[in-house]
Amino acid sequence: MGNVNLLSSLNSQQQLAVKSEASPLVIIAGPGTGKTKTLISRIVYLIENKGTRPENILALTFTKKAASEMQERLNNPQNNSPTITTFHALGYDFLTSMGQELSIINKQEQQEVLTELLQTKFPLFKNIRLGELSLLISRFKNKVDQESADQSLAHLVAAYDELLTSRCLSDYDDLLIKTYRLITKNTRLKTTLQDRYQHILIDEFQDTNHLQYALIKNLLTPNNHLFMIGDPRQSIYAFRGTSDKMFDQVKKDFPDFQEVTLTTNYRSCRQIIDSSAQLFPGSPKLHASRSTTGKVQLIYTPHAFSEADWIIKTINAKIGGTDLIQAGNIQNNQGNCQFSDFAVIYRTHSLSKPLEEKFSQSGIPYQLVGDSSPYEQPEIQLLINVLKYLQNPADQYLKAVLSSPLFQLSSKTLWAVRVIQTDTDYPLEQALKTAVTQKNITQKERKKISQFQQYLQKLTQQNLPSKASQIVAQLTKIFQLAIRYQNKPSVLQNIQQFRNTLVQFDGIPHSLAQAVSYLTYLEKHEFYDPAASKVTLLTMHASKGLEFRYVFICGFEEGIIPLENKIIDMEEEKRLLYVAMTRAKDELYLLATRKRNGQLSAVSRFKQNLLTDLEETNDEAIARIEKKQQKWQEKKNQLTLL
Amino acid sequence: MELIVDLHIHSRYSRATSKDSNLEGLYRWGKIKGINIIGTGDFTHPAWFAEIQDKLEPAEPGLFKLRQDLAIAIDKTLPASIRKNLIRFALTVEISNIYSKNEKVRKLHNLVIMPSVKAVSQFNSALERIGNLKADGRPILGLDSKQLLTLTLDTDPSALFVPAHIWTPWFSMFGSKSGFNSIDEAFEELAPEIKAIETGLSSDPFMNWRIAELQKVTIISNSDAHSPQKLGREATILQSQVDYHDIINGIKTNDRRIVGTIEFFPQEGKYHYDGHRACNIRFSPKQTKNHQGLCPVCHQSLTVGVDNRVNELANLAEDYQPKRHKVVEYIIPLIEILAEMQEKTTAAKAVQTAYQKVILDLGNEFTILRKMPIIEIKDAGYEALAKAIVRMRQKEVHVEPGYDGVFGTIKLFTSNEERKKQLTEQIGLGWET
Ligand SMILES: Nc1ncnc2c1ncn2[C@@H]1O[C@H](COP(=O)(O)OP(=O)(O)O)[C@@H](O)[C@H]1O
Ligand SMILES: [Mg+2]
Ligand SMILES: [Zn+2]
Ligand SMILES: [Zn+2]
Repeated sequence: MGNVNLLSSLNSQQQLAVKSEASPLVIIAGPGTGKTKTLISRIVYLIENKGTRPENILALTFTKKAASEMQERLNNPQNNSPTITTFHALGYDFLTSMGQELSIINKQEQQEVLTELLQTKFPLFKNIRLGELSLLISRFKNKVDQESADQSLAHLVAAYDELLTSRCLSDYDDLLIKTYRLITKNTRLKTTLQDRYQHILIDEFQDTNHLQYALIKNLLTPNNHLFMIGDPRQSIYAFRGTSDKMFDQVKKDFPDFQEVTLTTNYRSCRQIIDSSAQLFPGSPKLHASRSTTGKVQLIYTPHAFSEADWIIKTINAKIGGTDLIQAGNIQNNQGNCQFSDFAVIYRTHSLSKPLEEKFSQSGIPYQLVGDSSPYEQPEIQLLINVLKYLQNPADQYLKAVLSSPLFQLSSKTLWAVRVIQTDTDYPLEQALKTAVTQKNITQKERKKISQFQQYLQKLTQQNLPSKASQIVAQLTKIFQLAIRYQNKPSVLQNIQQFRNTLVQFDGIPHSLAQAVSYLTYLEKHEFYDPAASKVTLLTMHASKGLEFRYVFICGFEEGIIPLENKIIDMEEEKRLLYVAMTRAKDELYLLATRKRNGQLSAVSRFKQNLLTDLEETNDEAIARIEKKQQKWQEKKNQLTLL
Repeated sequence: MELIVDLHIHSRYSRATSKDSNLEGLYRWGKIKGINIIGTGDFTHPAWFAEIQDKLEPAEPGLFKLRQDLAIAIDKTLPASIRKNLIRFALTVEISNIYSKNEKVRKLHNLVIMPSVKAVSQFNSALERIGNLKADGRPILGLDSKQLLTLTLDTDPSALFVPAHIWTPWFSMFGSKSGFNSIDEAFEELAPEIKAIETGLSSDPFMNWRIAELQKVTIISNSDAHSPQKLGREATILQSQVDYHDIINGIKTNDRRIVGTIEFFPQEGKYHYDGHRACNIRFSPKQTKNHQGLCPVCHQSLTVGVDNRVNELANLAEDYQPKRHKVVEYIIPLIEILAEMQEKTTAAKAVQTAYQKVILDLGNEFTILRKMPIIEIKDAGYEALAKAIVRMRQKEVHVEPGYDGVFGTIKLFTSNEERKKQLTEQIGLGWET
């Protein structure tokens, strides 16, 4: 990238942010104003114009996906590239480079630890769901100032930490806490890091929590430069202890900060910018760079399936029909879009089921991002973990295989195995041998372990083929997947498809290693392939940072947007909706059903905010259904007359 | 040897196909029709591909045959007259590419033919990342046709890529609605890699030869059958070995191995003329021009048919014929001839029975229609049929062109009187059972 080119493609506010020498530099900017572009431009500027060495640059963001994307957007071919990573990965790499052996606790194990604690010492917390408790603990651990916190929770966390330490385990929060402690205790270490990371840049700063922020502050000296860019209104991780007030904190801590605001939105048409801004009345307006008006529409539809149908119909119409019948019936089919121009966004994964069903039938290419991706299904996760284990027979992969829901081991058993391991220092295989002799594990569970050992034996005794796809075929046999899933054709198809995916590595040397590294790449991107020509189905959380020409937001209903929960953080829900709406470049569709899961639904309260110039229409399916019902009613009336 | 080749068909995993579009059905009907090399179709579909691997086994290089036990079971049910016909399968698929290029939506159907199960697996896995392969045997991909071509040849250089039914308005390389104006425009620097095109039912080689660019490629014809009974509506005739590579190299070089094509009368195709199905308007290109391309009923623009579109792109006159050219044979499916003779539909029981009897007595359909001396047909007791086939072979037919998705009609006789006059009473005898 030529330097002249680089700056000339930026507006004057962005240029200011790229060139400024002030620190900390706080850039507050709305969606689509080029935050990520500016951050990346600054990295390039520092390296190419300022002679900064890439290894002196640290860029941080919040998800693996965002970090990978940033790396790709930067596209730096040099060996010594800047460190672009997430906070957790930074902590992990730092601790392991210090010679620490880290074993991260998985979800099942954590649940077991918590259950144990609740049963023995902390009955007080018994009526809180384990998932929620885990969040509470995480939030607690991420607070820097822990004095003010609830005392009973503090005790629970202390006991939890102690138990983990006794088993040489860490959770994700420990990665940061341990790093933080090491740095604050060890000044030499601290100076080494301060010398190394002369420029620290943080994207999506609004999602930083207190601990992360404290960590960063520790890396700062008057000579280091801190660049923070973000949008308080896109802060959507309150449940992880972040808040939209982080910027205020920075300003308080560093009174001589410089602030730059970016006010031109390059992404969306005016209508979309205006409509989404209405969620925050009185806030400063973004200036639309694009001249087209765009479109924001609210569509009422009978139920979840008609919602999916409406979306598919609309995509088909915009594409101009995907088969002969549609093509012949659509009047004006001279659009110019492609499948990757469309995204369907929902608040929670539970909404994706009917969508996926309908998309899958439609033949339209689509990809599910995150948890509901086919790769995330237990059968594929099992295969992936076995492949990883075959490639590198480390305990960590075998453990992942063992924890597969396929083997139905209770978390209690898994934990018992872990205890054996830490008490004896046995590798997992050995620990399993001990486990089958232990009385505190029920006989039923011990049987399951023996069963697992048999699989393992087959796995190690059989001569496995060298080609990745053939290995998968063999694994399918070894783990008897065809029998296990004989009544689930969709699962079998998923396995077949997975196998097909790996055939690409069959012809090349180190087939298995190549396949594993490809799968790891996909995993890092949460199974989202930005280059794919497919419609993207994803949650609001996963949509952050992305953009699409056409966006459909499903379930614009009370109970979903905002999500009905024990604790509703209404402002956070609003920000989430804001994030989703502002992904749209050209057209935005909000969809509300009349009935979902058989229950009457009411349109989202946030409709009130959007009232001005929101176009509302009914899906034709409503009229169709009403007509049917009317007919049926008439028939019924006639019957009663007779 | 002479091989009749039909590479474009669909399995039951494609939309709007018959339930008995399976490998056994294709095998059976291939023998009845007299086709030697049949495309499997739909090899990107996981379930169909699994079935292909289960029911077919390798035969000559790059070709496959039905598993022996299945073949024997079917052969038992076939009359001796066709039992011995050679049937081989080639691995094929049709892909629907929907993408935008130069600010316009493009929708092209492309045919891909592969030499091995391994190549197919590799190709499928690449596509699986791009599209939804399990919803439709003819998968939709948001992929530029040019990229698909690259992917095809990268997967295996001996694979063949053929733009399908290149003139249909909605989904083809030259389609009036979302196609291109030249191979160059569609495939840019890779245009020379396009070695063959498929005529589709609505065009014949003569129409295609009016476009200078198409004189440089091989013209092939296939049935695009959605049920096994429709196999061989069109086909390609080769003089080659029973070997994938010999066949494909023939197609790629257009040398002597390509004898020619067997054609539908192009007017019978669904998109020959212009018009509006909903408004009952059928126009010749000239009429369309007189109406400025608008439908006199609804005033929307008419669906432009193949004839018109060929005129638009042609560099050569309507009556142009290359001095030397490949064989072009026109046929009317035997079942349609029989139906017309009996004044019944092709689905009528009597027509079906008659069809079976003719096959039983005379052999496979293509031999009867194309080659069998008329005298032999007569001598077997099918005097009327012999007369009808003479008319067909001499192209003495009456045509009502198809338009906007409505099949055209081809009649050997304009009226009942003529039919009666031409076919004397004795016809009936052979048929009634
Ligand atoms: N100065 C600019 N001129 C033209 N387009 C820009 C400019 N700045 C940003 N964009 C475009 O606007 C879109 C949003 O940019 P991005 O960096 O993703 O925004 P943010 O991170 O603020 O959401 C991108 O398509 C980007 O290329
Ligand atoms: Mg961004
Ligand atoms: Zn087609
Ligand atoms: Zn009309």
